Amino acid sequence: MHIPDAYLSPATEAVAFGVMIPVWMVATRKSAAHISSRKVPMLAIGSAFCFAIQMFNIPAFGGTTAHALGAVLLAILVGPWAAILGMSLTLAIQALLFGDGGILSFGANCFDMALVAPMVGYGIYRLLCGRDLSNIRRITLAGAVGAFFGTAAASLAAGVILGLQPLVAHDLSGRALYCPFGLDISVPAMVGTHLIVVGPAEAILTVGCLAYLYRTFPEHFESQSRVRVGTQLRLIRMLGWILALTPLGLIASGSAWGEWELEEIKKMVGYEPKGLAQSHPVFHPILPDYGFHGMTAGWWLVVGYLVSALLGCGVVGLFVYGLFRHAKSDSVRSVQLHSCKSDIPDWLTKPNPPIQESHRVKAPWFERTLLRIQASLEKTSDSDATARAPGFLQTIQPAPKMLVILMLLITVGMSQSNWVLSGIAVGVVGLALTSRIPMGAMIVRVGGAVIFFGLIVAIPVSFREGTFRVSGLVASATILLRLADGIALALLWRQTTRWNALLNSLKQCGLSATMVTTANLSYRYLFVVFEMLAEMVQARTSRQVGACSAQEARRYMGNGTAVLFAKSVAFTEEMHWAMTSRTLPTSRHMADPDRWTARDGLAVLTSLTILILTVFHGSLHAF
Amino acid sequence: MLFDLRNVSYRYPDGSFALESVSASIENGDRTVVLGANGSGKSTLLRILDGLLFPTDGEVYFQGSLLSEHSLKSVDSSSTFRQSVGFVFQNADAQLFNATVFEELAFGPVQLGLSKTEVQERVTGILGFLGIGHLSDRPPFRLSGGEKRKVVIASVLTMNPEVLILDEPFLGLDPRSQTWLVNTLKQIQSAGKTTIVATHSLETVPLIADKAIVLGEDHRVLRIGSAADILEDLPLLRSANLIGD
Repeated sequence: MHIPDAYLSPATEAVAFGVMIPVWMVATRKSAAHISSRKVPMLAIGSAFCFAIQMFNIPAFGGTTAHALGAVLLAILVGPWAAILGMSLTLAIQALLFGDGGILSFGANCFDMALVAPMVGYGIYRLLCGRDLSNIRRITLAGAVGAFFGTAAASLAAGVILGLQPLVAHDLSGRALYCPFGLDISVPAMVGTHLIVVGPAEAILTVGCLAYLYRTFPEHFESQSRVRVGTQLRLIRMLGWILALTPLGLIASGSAWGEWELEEIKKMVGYEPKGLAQSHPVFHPILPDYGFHGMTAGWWLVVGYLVSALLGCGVVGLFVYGLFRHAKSDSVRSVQLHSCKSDIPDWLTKPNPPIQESHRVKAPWFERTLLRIQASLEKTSDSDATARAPGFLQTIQPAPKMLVILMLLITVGMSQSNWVLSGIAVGVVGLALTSRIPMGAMIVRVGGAVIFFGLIVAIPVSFREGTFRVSGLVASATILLRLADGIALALLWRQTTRWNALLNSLKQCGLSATMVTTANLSYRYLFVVFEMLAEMVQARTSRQVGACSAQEARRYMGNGTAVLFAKSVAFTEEMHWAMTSRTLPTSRHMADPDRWTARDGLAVLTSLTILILTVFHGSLHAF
Repeated sequence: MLFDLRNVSYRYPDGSFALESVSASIENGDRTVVLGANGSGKSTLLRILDGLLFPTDGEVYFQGSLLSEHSLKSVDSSSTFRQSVGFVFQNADAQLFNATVFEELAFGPVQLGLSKTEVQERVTGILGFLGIGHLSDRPPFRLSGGEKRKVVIASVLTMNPEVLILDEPFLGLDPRSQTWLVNTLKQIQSAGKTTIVATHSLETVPLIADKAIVLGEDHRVLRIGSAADILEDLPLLRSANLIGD
């Protein structure tokens, strides 16, 4: 769901920021009232945890992947306003440090994943929970349903934002300038995947964590008991209603869009996006026989959504059932045990009986993913080393550097000329060379993204309506160049700026001190969390006899996530004390603004000139 | 011969050594300690013995067969090896990954494919043996430091390993728990198990070991010999930074 730069038109990105900035302001104020300094580490860990969750990609249809968000869980634990900030933080770390999701499209990504997901999910959770927070079954079930629909809503928002692009951004001949897919493709593609694959995963994860936390830290749930929403409703009836209504709601909006497309878009755009949809093969395998093939398929669509929603809820229901059945048998067993010390058991003095032949298959997916994440984290600490190297960009102060990069990113976003974009690409390579950035890694990172998105975007654009066109090729080159420039610029920024300096420059732009502290903690915490995870995997390996089956691996993963989270929470207490003893929120004073040097001013001026020239050049062409 | 290390070196990805050409052998039933200052490579050595890390140079043999990433990939040899060798991590928190103490202790026997009653018997037997029955239903990471250490040891003992490797087991234990651990180790040793303990607390060494491997701060072996002799050799201990000047 992370939308990269160059997928959205600058206007959309501006609107998204326009929506998010007041939301962030309100959220900061609201959560400052609710969140004591005690919850700051909790929020930091929550963000780091969400980050970890989002890096576990689940295979989805047609060779694509998707991931859970963790947004609703965070909202339930720290409240919805703080969750908005926490998720935004996670997304910011991803965009800035890992190039996952764009910088200019940060606002839009936050809108989907940091605003829509926690708000919708938490709303449903509160609605289902009612006043009664003592019933753990009810809490976890409500959390699961909330997580499921929160994710679905976020994917709907992302689908709509992507799908609007061909409408709001196209050239005179109707070619899409940014994301070329209309709503008829983007919405079912996004929502379908998230209803069938990600939603259930998200729900299971939320249930697992909630049930576990409730058993382990009941005090975290008591503090919320004052909140109440609406009247008490029978849980089952409510569930039934939501199940029945949601697909209808999706259909309703879908057909509205569909009508609009048939009548309006033909006039506005001059061609039918449907032709585009039929001519490219990428998204077709994603949509199985649920009648997702365009909005005309009628009631099959209803059945499709209903089936997937039911499927998701069924999986969750089974999971909850299994969870509590397990818990019951636990409590029965332990009655006769006490703390008396007995002799060494007889079997311990004898060797083990030979183990039975096992025919189980090894499923090291979890471990593999972990190692991959660890490697990428190590690369990040490498980038801190680059940031200390004596290079050109390193000599520019963080704040002016941020201005330079942002202006160049805006230039890239607005420019429609391949010449300008190529010029910027050459400039970026020059900057990278003078800033001693390892070129190999940069080429791999940029090239990988260009190839991946290029296949999805550029090919359908150049092969419109089944035939190859030169104009289409030029247009796709623009999109790819823009993508490459955007990713490379973001890489330049984060590779040449230390995390602390980067945060400091954000502080100078008015980000609140609490947020900066939280961001800093989340970043540190990432490393702690992953070290802990890696050690847990090692510890299990040393007691793992033989290979584990796929089922065991899954069980272990679910268990591991929950335990990791609970451990992190236990750790927050200690961390809070450590912070308090070092008198934490002292960083209230504003950071001293850095003195700008002539070099800083020159850099800002140059990029401003490039921006103005590009805009001027573009408007000359337009009129 | 149980373990045979031949010129084992381990390098970190950045090229620095954690261990450099270590050769040693451990016999069945040995009571061994690995001595060394912080950062001398004790943990790395133990992890290599447990097949969690693999030497970048040199070879490790377990009961005559080569331990390698490849050999541990085959299901059969991995099963035999993992059930014969138990490892107690220095960081107890990292090792406890199950929801309750009972589940933690049951993890190993369940992996061995034992029946439900056998698993039950093993877990209750060890809970009794270590005197931690009252912890059975608690989540492991909410225990005190000493209790965590006991649970970690218990979780390895339920697998009934032939070899028990312990990384700094005395770290952070109060005197009474230290005595408890020494006595427990003695009982395990007299049951015929091989123990390999990494430590830098010298006072416990004569109680739990006959043989010592001393690692220097250059990550090489300084001396391998009888524990009693090595404890007498003050210049050696001083050069290994195990005692102050």
